[in-house]
Amino acid sequence: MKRKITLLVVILLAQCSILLAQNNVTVKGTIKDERGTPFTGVTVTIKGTTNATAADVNGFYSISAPANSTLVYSFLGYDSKEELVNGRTEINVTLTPNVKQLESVVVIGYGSQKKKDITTAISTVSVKDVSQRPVVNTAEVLAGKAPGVQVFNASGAPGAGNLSVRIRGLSSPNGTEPVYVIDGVVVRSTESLDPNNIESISVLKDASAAGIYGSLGATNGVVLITTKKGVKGQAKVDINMYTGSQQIVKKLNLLNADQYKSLIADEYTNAGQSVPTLPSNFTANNNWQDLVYRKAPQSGINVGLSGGSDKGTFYLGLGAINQDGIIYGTNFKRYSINLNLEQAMKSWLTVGTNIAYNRSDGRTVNDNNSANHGGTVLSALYTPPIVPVFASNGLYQGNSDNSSNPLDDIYSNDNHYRKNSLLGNVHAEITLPFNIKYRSQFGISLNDYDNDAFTNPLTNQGASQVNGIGSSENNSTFRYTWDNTLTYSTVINQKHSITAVAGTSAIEEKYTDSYLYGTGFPAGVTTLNAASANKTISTFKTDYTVMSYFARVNYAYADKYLLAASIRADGSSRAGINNQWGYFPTVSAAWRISREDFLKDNAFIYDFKVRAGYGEVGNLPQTLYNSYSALNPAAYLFGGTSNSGYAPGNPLGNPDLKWETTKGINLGFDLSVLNDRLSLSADYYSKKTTDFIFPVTFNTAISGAANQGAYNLPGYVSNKGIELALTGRIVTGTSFSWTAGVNASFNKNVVNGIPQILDNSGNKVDQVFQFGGIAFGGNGNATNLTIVKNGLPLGSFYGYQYAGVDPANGNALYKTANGGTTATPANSDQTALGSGLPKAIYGFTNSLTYKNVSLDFLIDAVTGNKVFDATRVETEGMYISGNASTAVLKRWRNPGDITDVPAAVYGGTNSAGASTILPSSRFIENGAFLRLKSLSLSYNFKNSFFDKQGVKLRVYATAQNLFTITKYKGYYPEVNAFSSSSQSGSTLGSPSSTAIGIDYGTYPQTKIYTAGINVSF
Amino acid sequence: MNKKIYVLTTFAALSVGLISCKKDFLNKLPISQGTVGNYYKTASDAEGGLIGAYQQAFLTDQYWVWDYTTNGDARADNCFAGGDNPDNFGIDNFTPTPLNGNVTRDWQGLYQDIYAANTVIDKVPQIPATSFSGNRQQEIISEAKFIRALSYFQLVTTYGAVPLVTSTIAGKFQPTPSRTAVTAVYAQIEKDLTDGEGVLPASFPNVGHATKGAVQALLAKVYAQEGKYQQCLDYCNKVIAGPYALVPDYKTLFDGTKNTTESIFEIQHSDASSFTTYNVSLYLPEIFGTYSFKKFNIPTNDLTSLFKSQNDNIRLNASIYTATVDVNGQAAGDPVPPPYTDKSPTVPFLYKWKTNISQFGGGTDNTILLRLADIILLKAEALNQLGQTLAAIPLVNQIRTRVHLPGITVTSKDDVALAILNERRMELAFEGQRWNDLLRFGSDYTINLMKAQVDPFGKALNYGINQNKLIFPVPLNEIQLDGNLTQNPGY
Repeated sequence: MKRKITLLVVILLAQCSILLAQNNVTVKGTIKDERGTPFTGVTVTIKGTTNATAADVNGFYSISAPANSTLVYSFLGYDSKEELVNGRTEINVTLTPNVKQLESVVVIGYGSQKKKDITTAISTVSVKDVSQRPVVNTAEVLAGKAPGVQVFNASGAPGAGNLSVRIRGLSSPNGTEPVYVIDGVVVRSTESLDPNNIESISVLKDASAAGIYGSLGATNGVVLITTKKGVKGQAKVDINMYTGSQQIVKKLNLLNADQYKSLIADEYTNAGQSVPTLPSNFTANNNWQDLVYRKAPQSGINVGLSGGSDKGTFYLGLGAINQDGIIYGTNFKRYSINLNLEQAMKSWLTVGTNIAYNRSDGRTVNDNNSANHGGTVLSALYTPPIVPVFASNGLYQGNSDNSSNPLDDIYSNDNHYRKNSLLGNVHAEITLPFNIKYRSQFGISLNDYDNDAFTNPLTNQGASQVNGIGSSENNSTFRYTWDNTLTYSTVINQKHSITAVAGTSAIEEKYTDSYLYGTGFPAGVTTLNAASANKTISTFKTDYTVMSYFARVNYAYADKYLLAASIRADGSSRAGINNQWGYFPTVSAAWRISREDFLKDNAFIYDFKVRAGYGEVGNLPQTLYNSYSALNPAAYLFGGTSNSGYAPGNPLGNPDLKWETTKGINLGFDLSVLNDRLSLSADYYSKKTTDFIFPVTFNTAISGAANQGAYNLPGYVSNKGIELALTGRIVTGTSFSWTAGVNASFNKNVVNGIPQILDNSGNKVDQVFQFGGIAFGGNGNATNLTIVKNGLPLGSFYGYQYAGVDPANGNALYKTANGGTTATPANSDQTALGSGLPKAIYGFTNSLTYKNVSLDFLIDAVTGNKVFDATRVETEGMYISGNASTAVLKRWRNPGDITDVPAAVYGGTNSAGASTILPSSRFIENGAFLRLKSLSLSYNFKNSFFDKQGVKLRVYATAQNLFTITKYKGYYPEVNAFSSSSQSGSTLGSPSSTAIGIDYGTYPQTKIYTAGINVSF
Repeated sequence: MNKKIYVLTTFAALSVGLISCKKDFLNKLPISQGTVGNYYKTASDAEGGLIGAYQQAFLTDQYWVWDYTTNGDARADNCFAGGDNPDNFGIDNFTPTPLNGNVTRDWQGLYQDIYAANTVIDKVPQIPATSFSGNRQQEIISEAKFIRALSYFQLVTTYGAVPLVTSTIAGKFQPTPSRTAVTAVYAQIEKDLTDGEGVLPASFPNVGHATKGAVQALLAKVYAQEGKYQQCLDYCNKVIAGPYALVPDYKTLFDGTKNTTESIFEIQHSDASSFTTYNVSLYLPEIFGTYSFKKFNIPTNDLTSLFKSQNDNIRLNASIYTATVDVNGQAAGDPVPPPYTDKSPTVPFLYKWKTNISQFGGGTDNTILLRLADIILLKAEALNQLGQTLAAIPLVNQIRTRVHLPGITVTSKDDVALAILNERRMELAFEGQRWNDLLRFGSDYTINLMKAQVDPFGKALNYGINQNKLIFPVPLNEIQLDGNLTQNPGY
């Protein structure tokens, strides 16, 4: 009906215009910008014609136009304005910039704020590239975009589940990750979300911003994610699909058969042992890396359906990803659905829901592990070329030391997982009298994970003797979050603007796990019902709760002076029962100098704001029941029968465990000039985490077997740094435009204040806590590669300073503490050898458009970080019967040889006790890199037919990791073997923040080429 | 408008109410693990806690698996370290450093045993006495005190002055205790044992518990080590008057027979996987089904010679097994354990634990810690020291008669003292007694004896022993965790 009336009106108007067409009038006027200054150069066009004029230096224009025509006032970067002449002779116009960056709304936690009103360090991250890159995990979206935010992809395994995000360095030994908040719900992880459904991301970096989340891990910052919602009156379909191929970035050079045999002969001879005879079937010539790595396809599709009426909006997102891994046998698939509904029920009541569900499944191989323990990546390097794939008995052939070959690892171990993730919330917002809004939001997240593993009897591993080993693990994490907030906002006398929020929040999380194991399977059956022996079952459950009260006030005077203050009180079941509550205040202020009279009319400065903030946030370790001392099951024989009981063991309870507290200041400014074409933000921050919680070990005399617990150590971690972000719309022409952003951040991390201890001679020395243990060769005790010690960055590398090779005997030499060199260094000769933490990170984003063609690229770089290439201990250690890299061709062979690669010695230690495989600077490398993270070329189909139909069509081709400039010798410098705590030796779990930057047979990174289409209508 | 206020009130009340009425919302106890705070409430918890203390001391701790033999026999002249472990070499050679793994492990293990015992001693008295039948509550405490006394006895003889900790402390930063004088440690040991003597029964229906006899026997040994020979004699007499008798055939003690009439306290093992011991896999040659590697605590020629010079084949054959070794790296058998070399096609192996059911950790024989023969010889020693040499001789001969050896012929106090020392060496070889026996005999004697030790080929070993090396260093690890701990002189 409406449409008919509109049509009628249009027809009537058209007839009128024909009648009045000849009646021209001269229209004059002045054009001003949004501050009232005269606007030069604005184009004034008569709509539907090419007749136009431009405003002069005083913003004055004059044009002759039909009395019934429409004038269009336009200037690049400003919203065009249309005025119906309607017989007028004077029309004055004010234009406003179309880039409303300052007015754009930023989510800040339990509310939102206009960008211009922000007083703290918050970065907003553009997500538009998600539609033209194969982005699997939300964290990938953040990479390179915001200063102080480092996104670290620990491996190239499909599913990108190993991403870590570090905001402003490492603040705590207990975890590196920020808190994620999706649509207002604090969630455990972002894995339930398809990144295509993200509308916006803001990152709360400093304590004064993050303090509103108090203790929920906000020591490491907060990432706020808002998902796409429907827009009133716009029914819209967006489709994005792509397909592509991934490949290994590079392969390593290994010895060929002859070189390998010569190495083994050297190893045994130098160890004073007879050279073993190789098995007669060791005559193959396998390049194991070629047998393990492949080009792997990846494709994805996402469909977004959205719309809305006056009363309600909806958004439905559907997505699917199918990604094979570059190691044979590995893959990842995900199907996801997002549904967001918002409905105004009454004038005072709005209700809504956000639901995200996905199911993913995949097949994995063992990595970050030695060849002897089935680590596929190391096995591909370790297994000699002469080893055949199969032995004559039909089983996979292992190396002479019985370690399995990589194809055995891949195909004998069938390791499948499935995940079901559900994230949902329902919320209601009630408008109350006195400008008060009440919002209640109940969110749940449910993450179910199950894993089946079966090692078939074809393997040369233990499973062949027991007719197969099967295991099955199921776990489920359920969490609910209930937030209630009251928001009051008012403006008094048009000068004083006040927004106040107060609320409560409750979180409860429950975890259950069950594990089944069995051996002895009939041929062809892999499920555990068929297991005939060694059946093992285990289940366990955990839970924890958090209860919070919080309040925040934002005050602005005349848009010039801005003040914010907040307080949060958090109680957690994970804190010591005597110190359950932590209180986290923040205060911040900003001054928009550009609003002062003396700058108001400045044509150059568009906006200038200085900011200062102080805040405190808290953190607790992942361990749950820190107050309680554990009992371990025990049994003893009395009268020949087993009696069961309990004995105290670790962890030792600490009812006084306090929150780790990070206190930080932030000073910064935001400057934008030339009508916001160029903007610069700079921040200085200094933060200090005190009372840090550490798995402290006590003297055994007092604590017995219960000598480890989570205690606050009187030490601290400090991070100081500078962040710069420069954004510019460099070229803004109609056919060509170029927008670029560059950001750089510098961070200095140091641990200090840990009490000293006495050494054996009674001298005070710094305590050393060691982490990052690797059992090289898969045998014996783990060697720790990192430490926490006063004066060094958290988790620095620790070991011996390599001093080359003794030409006389081929011994590896190490520097001693007093400056000499020795082949047999003492423990006290160990020293700090650098850190995996970068000193600087850089990002450079670019978007160039020429007519219908766009080129987008993202470059990122890190400098100042080291990588402990522990893979090279295996490939250049020359102490085992495995293959080695071609670097060992330079090894010492005869007295007088000058080289930096020592002699090959089987076992690693010669008869004189000289070791070639001590953790030393020999294996530590510069981890700096600069890479073209993504490069995307797209073409927009624009024509009148599409315009009429409201169709947008774009095709694109994208390359990720196209090139990486680095000196790193391993697969890829962005690597982290300890991204999960599975290799931990401590009963409390090795916190991954204390062992970063170690490469040990980690699934290599990939280079990805994709092509895709975006359609919307 | 009223409606809105109602809605608000309802919501606010609901939300605040639901959260705050659940007062224990923040109190979460472990679901899948017991806690010390929850346990020790009933008589059966008390028994369970005691079982935990037994398991810790006698199954979990490596001390009573093999370290006590290393310290008591390899450090002395009964064994070479054997094997390939630098820590064991260090103990054998009198070069243990404060970083030595065994030195650290023994300290930690024994204190872990004490902590488990202290937990029982702290917690069980808090359970109402009415929960227990008879005198069981006091018995449980006394059994725990036996474990504590046994552990402190090892610590004080091995390290000298050690921190004396007699209760568990929860929460706060754990204190850093200083070392307590040797006499004060002994006083606590004596007190723990005399407390228990009046409480514990002569036997339990289920064998394995510490009995009155065990407490008395340990007291006798403690007094002897302190040089308090009169009290030692008194307690030896109490034990001998108790329900114990020498087994007629020495072999029976070490052939897998468990809990014989001679046994006063022994660690219980069985063929169930949680209750086996792995000392056999470190000692027995490969033909007994152990993994092939360099075995540990290899009997010295000196010891074998002593057996042979006395024609003591019964105890020799019950204690030592000589097996072929793999001298050229190609044949079957274990690699040659040091200090033997390729020149030795056969090597003696420690053989007091014999039953082995798997390649590693398959020992099922019990480990005897206290037995009557030890107490009889100790009584002889006490009598001799107290000047009653003639009364001592028949006791030595009682032990010799069992293995068909003639009585000793010497009669002077010094000669008899040496005869007792030698008799104990043969009777109790590898039972961890020798080092303390030597120390009682005299530190100068010990030092000179050890300086004279030779390798299997007669070459002097030149042990760097001196007065300081008669006890271990304090582990550096513990000094670093406890700023009040001081190091022993000479380390």
